[in-house]
Amino acid sequence: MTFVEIHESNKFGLTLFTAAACTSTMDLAWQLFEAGRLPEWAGVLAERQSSGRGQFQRPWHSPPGNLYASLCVPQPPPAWCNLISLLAAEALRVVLSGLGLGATIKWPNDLLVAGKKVAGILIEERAGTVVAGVGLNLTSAPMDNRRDRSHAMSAGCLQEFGVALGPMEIWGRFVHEMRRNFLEKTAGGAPADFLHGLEAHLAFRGREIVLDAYNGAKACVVMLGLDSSGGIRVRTGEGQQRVFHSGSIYPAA
Amino acid sequence: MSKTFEQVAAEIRGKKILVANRGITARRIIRSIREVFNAVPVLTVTDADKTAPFTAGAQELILLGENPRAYLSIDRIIALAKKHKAAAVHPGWGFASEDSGFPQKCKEAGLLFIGPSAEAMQLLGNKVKVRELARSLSIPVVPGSKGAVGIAEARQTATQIGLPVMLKAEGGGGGRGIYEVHDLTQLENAFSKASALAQASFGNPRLFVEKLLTSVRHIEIQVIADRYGNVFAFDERDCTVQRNHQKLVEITPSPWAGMTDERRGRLKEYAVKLVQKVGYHSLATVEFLVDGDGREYLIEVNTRLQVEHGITECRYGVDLVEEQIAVAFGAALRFKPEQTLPVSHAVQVRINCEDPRNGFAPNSGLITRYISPGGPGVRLDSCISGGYAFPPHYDSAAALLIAYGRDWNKTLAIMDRALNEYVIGGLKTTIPFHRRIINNARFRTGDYDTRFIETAPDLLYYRDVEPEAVRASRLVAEISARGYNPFVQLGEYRGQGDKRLSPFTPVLPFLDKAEIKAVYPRGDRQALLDYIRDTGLVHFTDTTPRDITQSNSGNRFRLAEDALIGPYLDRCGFFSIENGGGAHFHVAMMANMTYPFNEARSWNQFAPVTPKQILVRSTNLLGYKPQPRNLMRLTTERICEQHDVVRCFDFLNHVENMYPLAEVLMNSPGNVFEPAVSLSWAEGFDVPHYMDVVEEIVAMVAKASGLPENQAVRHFIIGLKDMAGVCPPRFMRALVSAIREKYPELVIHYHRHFTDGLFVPACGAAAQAGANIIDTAIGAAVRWYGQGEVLSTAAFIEEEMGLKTDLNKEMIRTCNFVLKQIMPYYDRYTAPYFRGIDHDVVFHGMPGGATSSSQEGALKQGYIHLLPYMLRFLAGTRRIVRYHDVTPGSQITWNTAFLAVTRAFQRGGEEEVRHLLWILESVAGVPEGKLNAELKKERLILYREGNDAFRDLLMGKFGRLPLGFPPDWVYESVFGNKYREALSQRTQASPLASLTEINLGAERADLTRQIEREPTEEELVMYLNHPADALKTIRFRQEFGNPNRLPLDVWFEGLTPDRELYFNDSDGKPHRMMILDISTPDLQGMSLVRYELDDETFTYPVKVAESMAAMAGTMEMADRNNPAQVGSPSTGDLWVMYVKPGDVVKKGEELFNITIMKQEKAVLAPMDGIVERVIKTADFKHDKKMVPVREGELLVVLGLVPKKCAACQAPIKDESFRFCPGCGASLA
Repeated sequence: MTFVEIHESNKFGLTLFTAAACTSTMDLAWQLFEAGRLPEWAGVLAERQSSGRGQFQRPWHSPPGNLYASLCVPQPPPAWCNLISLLAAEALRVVLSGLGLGATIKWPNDLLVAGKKVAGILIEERAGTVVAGVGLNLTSAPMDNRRDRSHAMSAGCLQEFGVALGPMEIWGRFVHEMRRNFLEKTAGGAPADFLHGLEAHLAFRGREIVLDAYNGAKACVVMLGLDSSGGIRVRTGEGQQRVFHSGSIYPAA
Repeated sequence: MSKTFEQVAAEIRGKKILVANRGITARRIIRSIREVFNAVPVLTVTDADKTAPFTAGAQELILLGENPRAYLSIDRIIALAKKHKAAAVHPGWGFASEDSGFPQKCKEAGLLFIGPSAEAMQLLGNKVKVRELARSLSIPVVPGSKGAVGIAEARQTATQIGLPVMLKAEGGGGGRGIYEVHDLTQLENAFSKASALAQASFGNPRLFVEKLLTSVRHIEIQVIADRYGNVFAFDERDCTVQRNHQKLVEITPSPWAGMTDERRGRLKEYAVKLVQKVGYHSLATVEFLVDGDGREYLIEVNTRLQVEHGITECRYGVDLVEEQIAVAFGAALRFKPEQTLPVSHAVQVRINCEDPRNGFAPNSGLITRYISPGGPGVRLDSCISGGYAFPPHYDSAAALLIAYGRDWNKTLAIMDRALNEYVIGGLKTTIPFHRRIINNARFRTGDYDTRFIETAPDLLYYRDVEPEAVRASRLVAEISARGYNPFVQLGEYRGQGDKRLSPFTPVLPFLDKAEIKAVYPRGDRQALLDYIRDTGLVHFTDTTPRDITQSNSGNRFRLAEDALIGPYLDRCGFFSIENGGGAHFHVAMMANMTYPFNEARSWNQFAPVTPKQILVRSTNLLGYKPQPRNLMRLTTERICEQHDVVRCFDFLNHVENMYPLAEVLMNSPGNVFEPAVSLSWAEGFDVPHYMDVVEEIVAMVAKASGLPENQAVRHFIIGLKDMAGVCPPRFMRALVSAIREKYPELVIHYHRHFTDGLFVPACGAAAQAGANIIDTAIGAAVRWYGQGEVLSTAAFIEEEMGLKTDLNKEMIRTCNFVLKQIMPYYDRYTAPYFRGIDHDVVFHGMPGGATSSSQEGALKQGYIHLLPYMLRFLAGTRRIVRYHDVTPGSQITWNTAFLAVTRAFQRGGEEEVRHLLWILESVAGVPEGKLNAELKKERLILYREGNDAFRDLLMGKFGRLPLGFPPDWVYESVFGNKYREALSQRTQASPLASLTEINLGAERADLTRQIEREPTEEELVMYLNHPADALKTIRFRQEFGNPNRLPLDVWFEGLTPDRELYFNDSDGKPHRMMILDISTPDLQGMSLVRYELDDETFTYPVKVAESMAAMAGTMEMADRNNPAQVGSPSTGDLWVMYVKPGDVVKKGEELFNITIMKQEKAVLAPMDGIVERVIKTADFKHDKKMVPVREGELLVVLGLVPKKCAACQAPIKDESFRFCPGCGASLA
């Protein structure tokens, strides 16, 4: 059993758990949830993680200096329940924009600045509860030779763009934006407007991308935008328009 | 100071020697390291090789990791060698063995390199430098450029020495990197390609030019030298048999007459001079080309051990590898001319995993069967074993097989024998190809050049087949895994678990060979017919093997069972046994995989005495469409060989159609022609009508034989063929009497079907009126649609009619006993759907077996309720379109009725059908004058649905209708407003008149291409008659052997595990087979059959079901009210399934995870339980595949938590366990 020192605080009326080190803030968040100690909008933040993870349990390199945190998000209305990753991505983009960085969203949940990946978002759902994890590179980013095949992009960190904010500060802004965005948009009804507005900030829009559809097939398509369910709309090599809800995209060479 | 071999051996003992190679090479070298030296062989292996059979001899393995090309990483290998404290490194052949960096780096690392020094290797191994050296020593080289050249110089050289030329890589060797240029315009293109290839293959793009010598032999000299200047040259190796510059067969000494002692001496001298000049030590091979004029040219020197070194070792009885190692360590060479003498001839063939018949394409895969050759004069260097999965990453060399003996012929005989013994199953290899080479006449004379393989395409004509018993065992596996035989074309008539009939072990009463008396003469038509006439008896033809089983057992009666009853039938005193023709010919190929002409030949072997009879159709003979003359002749020749009586019929009684056949048969004195009159019982078909037909036939026979009619009648038999079994006894009496009266000497042969139930009285009436021969069958096989039974018919004829017969009744009873034991299997699996006597046949006229199959068709298509209407329609149509109900006429009528009635039904239900029939019955047989205008209009609807065959019939394309064309309104009905055109175009000419001869040559070429070998004449005739089914049978026999070897129950049901099957192959050798296990089909629908055949175990996969993936259309949904059924929470992709059946889970435990829009949804166990079923599974992390799922789709089914062991709390998964699987405590 690992002992983790947690500090609970209350900022903006929202619970925040912090730890110097843990396996992953996602693990910690779920443990707290199971113990009944994770209310809505509570956050869990750690300085470093020993088993940080991204999608499909891929490792997320987590040395001290960057932001690693998880947020307990309430269940949205049904029309929005698969769009949480886009909501979180948009919230983070707004925060970065406020810092003077023009970020784009690499569908559905990565953030790019100047073509480099600076953040990734992971949404996990269990027993009706949603936890959104954020990994944001502040002072360091994994080097190119750590790249495995699935990330065909290089990584960057905010420091190289001249931003020198600490993790707590950025997290605060993110939670604030996320909560505001979430409540506003989901109360408003259909996601169509939200998605339409998001299109302008999509990375590679109008450009050729490679879509890796998770069944071994890779296709070169042109990214057109989003459809009303949050999937990406693309034009295939044969000129057809199609929508995909799963798969990885990266820029064609 | 030189050391002796023994001194060096003592030095090396216990030292580690690293072999930096794999496969055959590695194994070879390891052997010599161990034998006398007792040194420690160490082997480098990549992941692909680390458990391969050839690693067994190594003491230590140095793992190189997963990159298959790691054998080329010299630096790493040397570093590892040092780390493992190896004393020396042997590079083998291939890989880095001719990279001069290797010896250089070994030297720097303090490792002994078993091979030449870097300098010597650079000098002799460089193709350009060695040419220079040779020239300086007055050794002739192939004319070409002095050194490496650019394009301009290449062009110049080519022009100078003359085309054709070769562009060769300076760094190449072993026949690789050679580009031929025959035309100067090709030069530039070839040059850039060759250069690029050379760079990629050898790391050196430089090329030089050599003249391409056209008719050459490849001769090489093996030499070995020590560090002290001693050199020994061995006798030549002849490697002329090559393909694409790759050696296939190597021979020592050369079998070529031009290899004189003098030439040998000279070539050895050249070789020795070369190695001595550079101060070379270790093994080397100096390669020469000798052209048609006997001129010799040096081409290259290989500074390493070679693939074909083994034949030199066999010739001299030495170990070259051992010597090479010793020399490397400083021993003086032991080989001396006085002591080292050649003794044997030796030949090596390279056994590669390639398919010669498919362009030598390499193949990799599991070696399922492995039997290596042995015995005197056989040496095998292989890298494979049974169960080894031959990898695709490396070359295709599996084994080097050497045969050695005292002289050339003995050596070749040994090689042929060894190749025959060598079995590598599961892959295609070059073994059969080498056998063809060894047995090729030109090869054996030794008189050929390097173009031998290209110029002998017939080397590829072989059948790569396994022994018949192995093939038969696969057939048994195919049937057993399914539970039914898919080849016999009866659908899925049973399943694996269904009840079986008992094993087929018939009791065969003893037959005394001496007893047989030949009553009916064979081979002499005159004698046979005279005998019939003179004896005044009633004679019988037995139709059990053909028409009976065709009508009642789907024609599936096999040759295997024919062979059981045949010997008995032969002794029954029958005039003839009808054993071929009709649909039997076709079905023999389609379902029984038997060559029909072989079948006929076999019949004459096991039943040699009684004449044989065959049934053919006039225009089609045995085929599916009218035959042009040349084909008809070919087919008839085959028929006449094995059959005595040839009965021919035309369903329209268009006698002219029989003429070509009549011509051939009447001029074959050993055969009897039996033209038959097709009989129907209906208005217009009366005795005078049929007498006209008989007269026509007599006239035809007279014309064909060139005899006057009164003599012609003595030379043939007239058949009377009542296929539907409808003509009543009184009619037969009248008809036969009329024939007998007009033609007292004409032999009459009566054939009738049982269907209306009046068989016996009709036969009696015919016999009484003068019919000479009656068709009957053996009782045990008599059913509903064939002929009647022989003994009862004979009894009626003898006792009621007072006539005499000469049957061996005792033998008939005995035959019946044997047949009785056979029929239950055919009855169970091949009997028609509808059975029973059908007197209504008199009205609807459907003949024989068609009765059931046609009606079954109606049932299967859901129209059984319309069947009575269809039969009425038939009956009515027979009165309008008048012809005889025999094949193919019966099909045409039936289809017409079927279509008319079903379409009417579709238009307006049963009401419409009744209306249709009312019209038909109001019109049929009613004179034109008596019909009102309305009926005349309505009747046009009757044949609107006529199909093409019906249309063709009306147009006369089958021949002339017996009572002329039907009335014009029928044409209007069938052709609509085009009917006038049809009327003008219809013909009464024979369809044979307009046929063009087939192109026999083209058809033969076609067939050759399809079966990839020369077909026999019989296969050609089979193919010309029924192409698709002939091909099916030919390929089946190639794959599975002769199915008649299997007993009847196994043919239909297969084997169950643990039952022993004994069978003989076609050579009479006995075999034993026993299935050990048949696995349940996997997700791909494959079932694995594991079985023993003689003393080997085989595993054979059989596809018994569609793969589950194909069945994904039906998806199970989770029952929302059932907590044990866990479904997907949303549509998305399943990327990980954490549980498998049998896992015990707690409530809240994660079972699987679905991702949608990159959100990962964990699905938790709703309750404690044990996982019973997992419907879909995924493991994206490992196989990068996700499985799409839909919302609510069932993925996991849980069961109640099993009870736990009191002692250790382990879950008890099965109620029936009596002891705990965890701690062993009793659960009572």
